[in-house]
Amino acid sequence: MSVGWSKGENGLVARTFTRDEVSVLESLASGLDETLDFVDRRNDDDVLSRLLPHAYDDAEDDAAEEFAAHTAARIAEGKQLRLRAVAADLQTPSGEAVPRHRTRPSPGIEVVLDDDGTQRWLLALNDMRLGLAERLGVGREDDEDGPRDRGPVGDVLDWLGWLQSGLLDVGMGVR
Amino acid sequence: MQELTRLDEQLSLGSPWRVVVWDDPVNLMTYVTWVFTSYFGMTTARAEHLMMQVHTEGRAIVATGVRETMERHVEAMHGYGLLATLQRDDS
Repeated sequence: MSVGWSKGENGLVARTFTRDEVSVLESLASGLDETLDFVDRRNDDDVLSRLLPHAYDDAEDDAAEEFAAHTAARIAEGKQLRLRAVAADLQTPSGEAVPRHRTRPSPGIEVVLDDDGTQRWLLALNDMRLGLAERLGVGREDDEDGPRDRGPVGDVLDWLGWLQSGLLDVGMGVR
Repeated sequence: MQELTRLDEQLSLGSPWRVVVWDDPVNLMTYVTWVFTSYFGMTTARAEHLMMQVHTEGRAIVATGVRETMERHVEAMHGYGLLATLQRDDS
């Protein structure tokens, strides 16, 4: 269930990501980061509407707009900073030099997280899942037809879920 | 003035508002439980109870109090990616 996460005696949580996994996460993080630049268009974009939802019921649109005017940019910025931190974790493996293998390709990037890092990753992975699910239309499909084949993007969504679930289990003891 | 606001908050004399968390098809049950323990400092039992209520009944009230505090909670919930709204508690 850990899908690769492990906790050391030092309390730090670690996982080695393959190059392919790194490029998937980097691409998701940078894409979502760019989308979050357009906070002002949150009502016209499904992903932004999901990540920056209304804070009041529809009957109180004025209150919702006022709330959003005060908070949307701040919430979006928090999300962007976490996405960038995750991307940075995948580039510089916790300050340690990337081992150079002359005869075979690098086995991947080891990410080592303390509690704050674990928290940042949990939130960032969640935002990636929410964004991806929104683009795929998860929840809008007819459940009676059973699970629909969502193609490779669906596989990525499933993988992100396992990754997040494993991090909750190993890093936070929630299962 | 700040002191008065704080006192009002402590006495909860302001019109009580509530934070409602809504079910959504994407957030993991374990993640929702963790958010409740991590942010609100709930016990695991309480967090799991409320998470199950969200899951089975579609919504749960996770906090009540003065509007400003509840708005802070809703902002935090949106940061975590949970669907949360504010409602005036006039029932």
